[in-house]
Amino acid sequence: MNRHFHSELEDLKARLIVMGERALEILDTSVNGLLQQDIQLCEAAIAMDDEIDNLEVEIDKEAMRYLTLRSPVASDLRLIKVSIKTGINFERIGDESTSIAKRTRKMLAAGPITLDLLNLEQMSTYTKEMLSAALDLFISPDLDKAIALCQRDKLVDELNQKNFDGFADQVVNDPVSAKLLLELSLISKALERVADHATNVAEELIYLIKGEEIKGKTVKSIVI
Amino acid sequence: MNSWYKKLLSDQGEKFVWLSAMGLTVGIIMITSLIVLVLVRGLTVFWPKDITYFEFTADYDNWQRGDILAGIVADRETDVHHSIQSDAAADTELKLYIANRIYNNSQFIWVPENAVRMISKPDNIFSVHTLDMGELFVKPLKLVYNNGTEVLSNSPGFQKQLSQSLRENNALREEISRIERGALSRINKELLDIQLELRRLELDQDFSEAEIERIRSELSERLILANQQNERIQQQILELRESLNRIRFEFEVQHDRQDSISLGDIVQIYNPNRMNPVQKLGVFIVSLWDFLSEFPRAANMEGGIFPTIVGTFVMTVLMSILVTPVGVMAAVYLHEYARNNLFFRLIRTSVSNLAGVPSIVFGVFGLSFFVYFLGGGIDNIFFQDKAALNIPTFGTGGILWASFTLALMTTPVVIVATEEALSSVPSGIKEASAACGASKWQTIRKILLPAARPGILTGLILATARGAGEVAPLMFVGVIKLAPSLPIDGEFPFVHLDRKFMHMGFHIFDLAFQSPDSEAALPMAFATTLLLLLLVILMNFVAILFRNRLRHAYDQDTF
Amino acid sequence: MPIESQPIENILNRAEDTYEEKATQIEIENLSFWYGSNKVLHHLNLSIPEKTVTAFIGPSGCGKSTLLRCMNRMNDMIENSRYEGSIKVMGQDIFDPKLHVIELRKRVGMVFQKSNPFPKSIYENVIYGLKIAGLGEKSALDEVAERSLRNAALWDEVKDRLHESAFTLSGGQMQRLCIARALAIEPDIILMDEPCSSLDPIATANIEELIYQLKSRYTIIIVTHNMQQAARVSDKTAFFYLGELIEYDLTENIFMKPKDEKTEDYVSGRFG
Repeated sequence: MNRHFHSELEDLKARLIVMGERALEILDTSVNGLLQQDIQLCEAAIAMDDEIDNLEVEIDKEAMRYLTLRSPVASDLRLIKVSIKTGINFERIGDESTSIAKRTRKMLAAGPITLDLLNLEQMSTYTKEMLSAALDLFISPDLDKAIALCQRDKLVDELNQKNFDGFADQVVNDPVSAKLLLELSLISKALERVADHATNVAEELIYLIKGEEIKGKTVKSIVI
Repeated sequence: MNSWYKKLLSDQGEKFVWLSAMGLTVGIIMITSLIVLVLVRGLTVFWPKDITYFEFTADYDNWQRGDILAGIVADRETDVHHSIQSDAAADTELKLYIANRIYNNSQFIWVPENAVRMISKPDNIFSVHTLDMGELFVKPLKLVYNNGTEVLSNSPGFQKQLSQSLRENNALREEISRIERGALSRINKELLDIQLELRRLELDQDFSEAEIERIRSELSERLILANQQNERIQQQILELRESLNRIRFEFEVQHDRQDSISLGDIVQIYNPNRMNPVQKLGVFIVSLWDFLSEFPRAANMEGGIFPTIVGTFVMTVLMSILVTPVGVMAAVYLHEYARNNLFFRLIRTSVSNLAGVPSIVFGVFGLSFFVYFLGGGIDNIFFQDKAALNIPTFGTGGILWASFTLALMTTPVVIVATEEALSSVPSGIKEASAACGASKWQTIRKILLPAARPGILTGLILATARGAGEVAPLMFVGVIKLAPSLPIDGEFPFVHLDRKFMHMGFHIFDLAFQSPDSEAALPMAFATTLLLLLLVILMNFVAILFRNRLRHAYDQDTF
Repeated sequence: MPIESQPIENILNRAEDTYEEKATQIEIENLSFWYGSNKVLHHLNLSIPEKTVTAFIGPSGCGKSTLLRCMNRMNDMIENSRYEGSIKVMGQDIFDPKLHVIELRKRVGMVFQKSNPFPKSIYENVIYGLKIAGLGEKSALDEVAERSLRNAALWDEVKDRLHESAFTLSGGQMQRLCIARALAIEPDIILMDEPCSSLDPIATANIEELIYQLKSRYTIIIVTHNMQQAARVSDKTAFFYLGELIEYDLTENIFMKPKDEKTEDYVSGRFG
């Protein structure tokens, strides 16, 4: 039997996906702003953050209301917990993206960026792919894909490490650009954080499906 | 000591299980033995038993050694001395049923066992049931017709002739009673009417001399006509009776004594010693049917008990019809409308106590209130002319007053049972009914009473059982030893509530203690007892079936 | 509908249809009530809006059932009961001596704690109120019976055995039959006195769903001991304690951020 309030859970999930899509959008916009050196895109990205923040508040409210009135249990209860935590992750993605946009805007304000961006483009592609895959998981939950997604986080971490080393080397050769290089290094770090959040979302989805926390556990133990 | 006692109570409670089981066992034994006794003694009355010849081996009483006696062993007792000459050597005595009440003082004799010996079960001894002389054990000799023809008992056509004549006689008797009940009673009524008219004429001042003269002559004409009719019918009956007595039955009884009686006085003749069990069963069924369907004869000792069955049944039904509405309505008021104050508590207690009042008290009340006060009042208002002739109609005991008295007596049973039934209806459905917009009366009528119906019927069953078996109060208000007519018959208005009636319970009492030969009447008393028991069981059974059907209709398991 | 195919705005707006205040249907003013000398309700003031579900909660003996039973004057059946103040149902004072109580009960139906079908057939149970009111036309009765049973979500289960005893139904079905019986008289308001207290969870869920469906057409007041139930079915909740109304608010406020400490203690189970 379906209770009338079960549709509220569907609404909640839909909102979450909308929020995820917004997060992907803001990430895409800010990264494009950097890669295309377009200050307009940066401004657009910064403007989008408010909507994501509002969505998070709404999702929190809805989840709390559902907790209070419907006394959810089992998968319903897990979905509520996942909604709240995923909401936080999306919101952070929004924040990191905003930070990328702001740094880019600051750099562009001093003129076009001529420095080598190293693996930033590669990183952003990976990150966007991860986030997009995490959103797909909401619509069609798949344990294998979620685990695979978690493993891809390592690639982004490695790229970030390479970027850090590369930018550090350039600072030695080109002390004048040290400030810009630091900004780029922080942008790289931000992208790495976005990938972490996407991984967290995937982990929450594994929790939603399996009912088990996988943080601090090896992936192998989850699969079995 | 104390702890030992406690241990017995708590640990070894099984002993109390045994104790309570013993209580139940005693109850079962009592009920079973009662039913078995009544069944055996009641049913064996009608079973034809073999007749044996006993030869006296010694002189005893006015019997001499060598005398032969036909009889049936009815009882055998040791160490008792019923017989006249009790002999120290003869400590076992036989009770013999020897019938032939008109030749001996009694139908039963006690003889010492060693004074008689069984010699044979003769083929040619017959049991003859007469109209008013009891049963005879005889050796048939011949049938003698009015015109002198004789049929000897050893001639081949004897048996056939005998049974055919008996059948014809039965038909004749029925004809006579039909005439008596029909034409004769009409004439009697006409004679009474004429008498009443005359009386009215005397009392009434309104008529002129001429008118009185005219009416008087009219009435005397009617009287002459009625008397003529009466004579004619009496003549007719006389003729029928003569033809009933056209054959005489000659026979030999003990002491080689010869005698004869008219065949018209004989109801049934059979030869038990020559009958196989199937034939005996036939006789048994015929006797039983006669017992159920015939009117009593010979001071109630012979014949059937049909009027008592009708009387008991009609009275019980009437009582139920009277008691149900009164009891149920009283209970509804007490339960639904009465406030819980001292007055109604007092009433409720009184009603419960009323159920325990000795029934004879109700009889006295019925006599003084219903019969004398109500009945007398009704007579004075509606039956003035009859009352003036000192012929009471309702001013004397009758089936209506008997029913009223018993209804009054059983009302508390119905009230208590109904109130209990009403209490057991869950209060939830009362509220539900009110919430649907029903008024209190609608709730009572549509919900409470239907739901309480099984319980009300249980009360009615109890009341019926008590009323049907009650005797004492009825003696005051309308039961008599022998009623000339039934409370229900074919005569207008078919139900005669003013008539006196016969009742099985009273009949038993009458047979056992008031008949000329109570020992002889005892079998009949047992048979009647059995029937009374069966009637009560039957009425209860029907009511229980009805109640169960009601219960199954809407099972209340969930409550 | 798949989520992707919906305009984003639709999804965003769906959760926005929160409760909006409707017109007042029952107005309780300064109501006090006594059983004998025992005062069980103390100066209650309460406005109940139409076509909503209002839950009355509170510990046993707090007077919530008494208040409910005041609304269709069920307490009239109790000797020595007495009231002060007024209850107006659609503007009509129900204690007005000119108002016939039977008229009131036709507008205010009631469902009881223990399912209490009459010892009659299912059909007879449903049409009881109409028959009492003198409606005898078979076709009209049949129509009402079917409609009421459909509205009580019972029709499909009983349509082939309408003339069997009501006692052949299960506990939950019996309670829905009682709801159908209340619906048959076409009331505006339905009072429910702990309607699920003797039912299993599935039957309870059925009744709760039924209440949710009925609230579009009826004003429903439900007394319940089960706080989850109050939270699940009601739009507004009133908390009573010792015959007094402590707090009356939107259900989510009562359960998420009660203003009164007693309410907080009661809904969080810290009572006593």
